Amino acid sequence: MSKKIFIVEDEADIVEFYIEVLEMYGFDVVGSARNGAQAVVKFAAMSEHPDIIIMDHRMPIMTGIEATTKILEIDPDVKIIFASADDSIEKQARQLGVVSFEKKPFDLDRLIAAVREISFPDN
Amino acid sequence: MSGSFDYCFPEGSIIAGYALYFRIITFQYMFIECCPVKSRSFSYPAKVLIMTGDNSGNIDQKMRISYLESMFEKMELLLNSTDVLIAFLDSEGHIIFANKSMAESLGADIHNCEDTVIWDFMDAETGNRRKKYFRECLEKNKLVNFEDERNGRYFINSFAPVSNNNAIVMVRNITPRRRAEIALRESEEKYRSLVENANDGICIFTEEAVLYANRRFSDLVGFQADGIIGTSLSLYIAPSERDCFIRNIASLAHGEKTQFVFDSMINHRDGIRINIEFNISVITYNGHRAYLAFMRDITNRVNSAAELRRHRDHLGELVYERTLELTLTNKELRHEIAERKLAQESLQSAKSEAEFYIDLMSHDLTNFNHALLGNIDLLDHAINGDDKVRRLLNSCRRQIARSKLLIHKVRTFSKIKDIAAADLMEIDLNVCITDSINLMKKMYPGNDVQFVFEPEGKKNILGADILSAAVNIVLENAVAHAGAQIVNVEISVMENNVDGLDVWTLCVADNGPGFSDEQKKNAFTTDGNTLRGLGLPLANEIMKTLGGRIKIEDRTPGVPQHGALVTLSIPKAR
Repeated sequence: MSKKIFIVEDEADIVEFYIEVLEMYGFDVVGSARNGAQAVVKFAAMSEHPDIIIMDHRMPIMTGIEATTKILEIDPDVKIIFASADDSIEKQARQLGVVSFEKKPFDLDRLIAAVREISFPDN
Repeated sequence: MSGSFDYCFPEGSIIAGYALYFRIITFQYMFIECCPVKSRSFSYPAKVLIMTGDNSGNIDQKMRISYLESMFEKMELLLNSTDVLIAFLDSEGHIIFANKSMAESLGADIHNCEDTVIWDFMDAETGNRRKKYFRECLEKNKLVNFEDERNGRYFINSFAPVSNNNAIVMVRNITPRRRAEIALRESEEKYRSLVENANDGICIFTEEAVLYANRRFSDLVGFQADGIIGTSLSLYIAPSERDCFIRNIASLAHGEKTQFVFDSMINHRDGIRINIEFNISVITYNGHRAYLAFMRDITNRVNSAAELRRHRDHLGELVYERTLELTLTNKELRHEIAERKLAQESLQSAKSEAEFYIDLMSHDLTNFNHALLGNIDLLDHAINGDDKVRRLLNSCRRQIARSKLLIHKVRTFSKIKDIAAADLMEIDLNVCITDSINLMKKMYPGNDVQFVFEPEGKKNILGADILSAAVNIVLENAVAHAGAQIVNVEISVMENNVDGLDVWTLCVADNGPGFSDEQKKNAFTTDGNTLRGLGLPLANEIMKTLGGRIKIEDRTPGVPQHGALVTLSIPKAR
């Protein structure tokens, strides 16, 4: 059964790239949000939560750090991959409980590797 | 009783051997001198002759003898009870009788000293001196008084002639009185000397006249003491001060004060005015009220005070002027500080603004690069083995990597000044170098680049993020500016000590064109010249922040064209 992934990113091109790559590699992208606030609302409304969230940080309305805090309050088991150009927030993000921090720009291989590491930790 | 009486005794009587001689010597002292006399020294008839005022001879003999016996006892008691030394001497100085005080003074027993020569009890000098007066007394048959000193004791000696060339000697010990007199005289001399030689003028005066003036007083007024005595003290006071002086003396006279200290001024005979501090007390002098004045010349003190006052006034003026200057300077300074503060605020505002735009631009560029890189990767999958397109895509990847590096450099440069040592995280230098080599390989995949590096153990330093920027700069310089067909970069890390600091020294040697001396000199400055790039100046700033240093040398000393050797010395993490 393929892992369900939710994308939080304000850049439409990047969202499109993520979806293209992840689906190409067999992952199920269940939705996306353009900012943190939207992500929290959508996540809370979901009857079945995704396995993985790819979370940007610097977004309008609500940052990735704030959204992560709220989402982990709703479901502490959800795995969050932080994908940001701001390496200054890496420590804070890890303290909140994100499982991976990928610094932009990273390539396709790095994205797939990160998702796979979470999806199949035994491999 | 007046007149002279001779009492003569028969041999063998109960008062045998003694006769009593007494006589009033002087009325003034009411002295009655009594002297028992040995009979053998006199050839008196057996019949007692009593010389009375009328010589009638009709007195009952027994009564007379009884009376005389009673008299003798009284006289003897009287003679022995006085502290006056009394002896009755014959013409040769033999002691016929000595009273108790005389015997004690001579150091002899009262009964055994008779018939001895009195002078023998004395030293020769004293004996001869007294003998001389004794002779004079006998020869001139008159009372001789003289004073002498023996063994530190003082005596008044009186030789009085009596009948038959005999004499009475009376000696009074006046040592206590004389010593008191001497002490008094010495004391007087001492005080007189003290007063006469005092540095202060001293005088005793009344409202009418000066009664005493010492030498210093004479010096102060310029007149001899003899000329001063009897004149009024106010004559010597400067006219301008005279009324005040008289008022002050009046306040003493009225009993308002017993002592008065005040400053005044006197006139010297030469017309010079002298500042004087008077210290005047009321005293009793010869039974009358008088004043004792001590007069101290305070001219120097007054002059010094005046000088001090002048200096103080001058100082006050200077302080005022200086305060005025300081006030103006302070005002200017405050104005300058306000301007500087404004400039600093403007600068800070500009810096914040610049940082904001750099941050915004970096973030958005990174996102663009991210999307671009993702799409290049997707394209690479889609082309399915077309080498030419893949080379072009690789070229795109290199540009994105260089763009990423530039963004990293600019961001590091903008924040490098604000990084504190406490913010630096620990990192293994070997990991940093390896990451940088991998990045270079991605950035320059088509180039024939050979990195020679063999990491050994852990080499921990502080400065995780910013150090990687410096290492990237040095490695990129080696690769990008190589200009050779095959780029050869040798990397090594060695333990070192620079200026007493333990460091890891990273050496990066390349086979590129090297640095000329001019280039070495200016490599670390931007001087606003963007052509030079940010790389080495940023690496230099990073090394400064880490407390290390960067150095550029020739790979082969003196031959720049053989390539460059860049060393980064980074303090070890403790």
